[in-house]
Amino acid sequence: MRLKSVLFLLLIFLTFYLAAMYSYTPLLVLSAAELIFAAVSAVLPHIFKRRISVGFCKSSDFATAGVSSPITVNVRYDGKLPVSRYEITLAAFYDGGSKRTVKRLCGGCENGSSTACFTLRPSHSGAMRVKLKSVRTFDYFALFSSQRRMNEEMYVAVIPSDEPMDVVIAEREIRGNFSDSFYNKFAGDANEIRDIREYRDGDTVRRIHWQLSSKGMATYVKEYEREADRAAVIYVDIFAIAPLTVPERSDYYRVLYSLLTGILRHGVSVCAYYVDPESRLDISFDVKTENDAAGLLISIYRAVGKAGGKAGIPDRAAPEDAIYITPKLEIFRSGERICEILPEDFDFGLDRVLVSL
Amino acid sequence: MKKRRREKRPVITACRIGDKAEYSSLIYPVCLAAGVFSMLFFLEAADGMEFSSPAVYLFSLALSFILWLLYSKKRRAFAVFLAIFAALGTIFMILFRSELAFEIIAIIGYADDSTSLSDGDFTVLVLLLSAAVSLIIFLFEILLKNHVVIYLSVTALTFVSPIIGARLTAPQILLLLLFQVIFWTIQISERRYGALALKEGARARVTKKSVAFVALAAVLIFAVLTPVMSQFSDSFFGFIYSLETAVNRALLEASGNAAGHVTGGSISTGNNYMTGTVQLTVTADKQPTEDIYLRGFGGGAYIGGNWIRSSDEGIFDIMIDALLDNETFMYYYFGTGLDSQEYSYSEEYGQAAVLSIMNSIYYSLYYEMNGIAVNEAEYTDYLTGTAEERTYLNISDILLNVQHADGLYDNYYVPYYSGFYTRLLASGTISDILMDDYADMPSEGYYFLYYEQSDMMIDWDRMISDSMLIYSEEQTQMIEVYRIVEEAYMNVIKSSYTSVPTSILPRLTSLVEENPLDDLDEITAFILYTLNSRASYTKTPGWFPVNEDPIEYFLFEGGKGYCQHFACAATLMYRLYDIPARYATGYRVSASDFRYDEETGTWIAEVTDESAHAWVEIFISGYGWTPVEVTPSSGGTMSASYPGYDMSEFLGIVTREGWAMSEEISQTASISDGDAKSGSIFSLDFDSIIKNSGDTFFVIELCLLFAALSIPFFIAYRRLRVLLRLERMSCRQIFARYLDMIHYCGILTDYNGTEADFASRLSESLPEVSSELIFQMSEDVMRAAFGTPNENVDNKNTLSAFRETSKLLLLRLCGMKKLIFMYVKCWG
Repeated sequence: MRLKSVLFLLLIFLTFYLAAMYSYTPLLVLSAAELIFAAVSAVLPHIFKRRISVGFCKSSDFATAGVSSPITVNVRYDGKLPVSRYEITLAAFYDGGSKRTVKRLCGGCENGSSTACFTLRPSHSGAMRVKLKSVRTFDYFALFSSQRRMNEEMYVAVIPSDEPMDVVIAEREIRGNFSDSFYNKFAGDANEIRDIREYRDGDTVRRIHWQLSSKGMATYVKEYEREADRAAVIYVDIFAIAPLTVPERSDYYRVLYSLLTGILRHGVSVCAYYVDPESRLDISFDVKTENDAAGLLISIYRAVGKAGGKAGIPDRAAPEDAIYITPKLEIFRSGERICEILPEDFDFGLDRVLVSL
Repeated sequence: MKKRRREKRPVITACRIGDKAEYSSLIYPVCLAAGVFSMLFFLEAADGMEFSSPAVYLFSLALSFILWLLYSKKRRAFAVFLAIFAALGTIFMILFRSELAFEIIAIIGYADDSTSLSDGDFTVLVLLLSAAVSLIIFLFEILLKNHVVIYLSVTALTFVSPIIGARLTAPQILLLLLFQVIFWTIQISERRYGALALKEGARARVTKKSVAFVALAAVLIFAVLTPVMSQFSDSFFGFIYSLETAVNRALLEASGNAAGHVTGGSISTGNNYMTGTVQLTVTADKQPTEDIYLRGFGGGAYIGGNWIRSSDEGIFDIMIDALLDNETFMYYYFGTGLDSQEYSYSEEYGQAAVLSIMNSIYYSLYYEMNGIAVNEAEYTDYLTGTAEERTYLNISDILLNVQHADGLYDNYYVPYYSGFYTRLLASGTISDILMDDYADMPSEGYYFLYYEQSDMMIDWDRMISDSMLIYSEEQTQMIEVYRIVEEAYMNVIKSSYTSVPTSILPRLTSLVEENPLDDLDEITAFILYTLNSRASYTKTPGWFPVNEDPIEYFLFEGGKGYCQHFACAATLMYRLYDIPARYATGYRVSASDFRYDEETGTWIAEVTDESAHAWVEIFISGYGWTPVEVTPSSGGTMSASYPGYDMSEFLGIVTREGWAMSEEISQTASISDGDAKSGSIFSLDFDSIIKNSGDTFFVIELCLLFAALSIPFFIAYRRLRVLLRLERMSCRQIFARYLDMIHYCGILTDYNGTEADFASRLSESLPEVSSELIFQMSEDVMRAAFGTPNENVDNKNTLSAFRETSKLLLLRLCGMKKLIFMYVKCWG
């Protein structure tokens, strides 16, 4: 029993005692009323607990590193009396991480469904889980409570913040020595306009949609299905990432995402691939937009999760012309180191890093 | 080398909750006012604290509402208001500084010497206090959202108030309870720290509903408990008394103080706890036929709940002057012949000499004189009567031995009409005087020879007139001298033992002044009548308030007490009637307590603390200080008597004076004695319920008033519930309500919804509502009514149509129809 409820019961007894000592009937009534309140308060949380259910609105969600993201929980309550206070215990941790945040948040609800919201601010990129460990209901005076343990989990993919690297791409084919079968397997049709979007820094002038741009207040550019002559290949070594710690992985993802978005700014698509640690199959991923980049990262998170933190050797080597980021955050292409990301680069922002491809 | 980065924990934070609509509810100002009123109740209940209640309460109510209104609606004006209010308060204090000073001084004086507050008006001070209290409560409850401080403060005041004699009534306690539970509920519900963000208005709704439930529960519980507790309060109190008795007994026995004998003149202001431990062993050489009063303490001066031990030395000092002037006395003790004038003395020698013999003269006076009177009677009987007529032959003194169980002899317990023999010497041998005749008596403790009251037969006039015939010359002189001593003593005690501190006993003094009497028997009867009609005997009267004289409280408020209170009240009343009286404590050993010990041939009584007693003693010529039993028995019956007075005399006077004796009080039993009250615990005495339930009806009225004031909240709550229930209804159910709604507003009253042109006609009647929505609703309803049986038609469109239409119709309506639309039909 909590200290508060013990003190309250002592106060009731003291009231009763004084009422008897002074033959003071109204005080006796007061102590009896308080006792009844205490008795009802002891029972109410158990009744509330049976009728309340709490769960995440989504089983998975996105978040951005360093940014507070709202997470909603759904609260359903079938009882007639309102619950003035309930408390949920949340635990948040990174996949493969050693530290965990446990937080208790309280709210109130009435009959029906309602949503409640809290914010999550992850510091690192990567896969994260938020667990709903328990829900505790209280009486109206918060003297007594009743807890129900839960094990509901929500997967949160934390994407690095948007800081595209300053990528310089030579105006030549960067197709490299890949075979046609490679491109047939991984590339699309170069003539088909896939999307029209606003102009971004780095976009080439020849892609500007002049007709549309002349009509509106903004400049628009065309995106094609396949930029056969403007595609980069990135190879992601899952087995090298898996044994890294959470901050190291976070840095890796950050560099990867920054590189991807930097490349995309030039209108160059990226073909990323990695080897699935379980099936050992080549998994390719076309990245043509920032959303695709985020999607790639999510796939990588899952693959790293499957690797279970164990290092391994891939079945085959990375293609010679592929861009490869080492666990030490060195960027290689065609076996040549083209850039190394230093700690201070993270402090100043990766968008200040210059990479020449 | 790259620095290894540490993993940072993810951060989970609560969302900020907006403040906007949080204080819009009327609950807040009402509860604020309730809190201020609760504090004012304590002031009002304090003895002598008079102030203009309507002005103060109205002011507090207005201030609470203004504070709430400004804070919830116009936050900027709130700060300005506070500044203006502070300035006005300062001006107020300056303008009324003299009244304030007077009131504050009066209260300080009351706190210092516990004299009652003069009948002054404290309105100015109370107004300031109520303003301060309003602001403080507002600060803690609304601004700081801390109920703990106020809760503890109010609880402390509730506990302290009965101690200082300030008692709140049941309705006041109810208001206090409502204030406490409502704000407690609000603070728990509105708790901001670590709170999840809810939809706008959700938290306020939850708070209102919680408060409504708690408040209603408090009122109902209180209304039910008040009559029940009033009826069975004694049983509940008895439980605590039993518990306290057991704890006290255990503590006394554990500390070893249980065997400590009774001493002191402090009047108890609490319950009387007995352990049943033997404290004295009393041995008599003959079987006593009367109760023996062993006096250990005699009270002289009374100082508010305490008696100072009386000392006859001061009286003897005053008596000396009279005795030194008395030739008979001086000749008897210092001279050889009455007219020889051979005695001479210096004044100093005379005073010292007289003082040195006063103890032995006075304290054995009645024993010695009675011995002479008994001898005279026996001799007279011998001379005049036959053997069969000799009735005095059985009179003899009794040798009493008293031993203390704890072995400490710092105080003696003296029977009345006794001569005192020295305490046992250290050698352990009995005094030579007793050796031969009383060899079987105990060899420890101390002894008295005494006469029982019924054997006392001192008649000064007869003895002096018979002296020449019966007594020797020396005896004759002795009788005269003892009479002189008694008269001198009586003259002095008329002023010594009649003083009363009337300033602390105003009500008792007034009572005596309103009933002037001269005759001792009538005075005794009046005292017995007063005690009988105003008080009842119980060993568990509870605690007395600390700021009131215990006897005033006992007689005029509490009405319950035990021997100390009865004896003290009687002593003070005797004195107020100029009858010398003393408060006495010690032991009353009942004659039936003595058991014959065959081995020693003596009668032994083991006296426990349950025989500890207090009584009043008055001075009667020929008897000296005589005990008068004014404490009723546990059954409520009284049996006061002294030579020449008994209960028949008492009843005769009562009848003659026409005093009404209270049967209830005379039959009242104390709870700890286990005597049952009239009626079983489970039977309901409706007469007493109604008689004692003035407060109950007031509480019920208050509850009804509260219920009436709460009706709007309940109506609003019902409306919300009905509107929420709408979401869970099916298409057809919602549509049925929809039809009722439009028919109520006079739209398409001859349509039942199944007509082919219903949707189009409805759309025409309600152009502001989207026609697409109306058609969709109509289609959904048709599908639900006539479609495939298991088809689950979504009610979304119907619900949207309902809500849009209700909003529109609400704008069209006014007056009573609108109120019915909103709160009775709950359509919008």
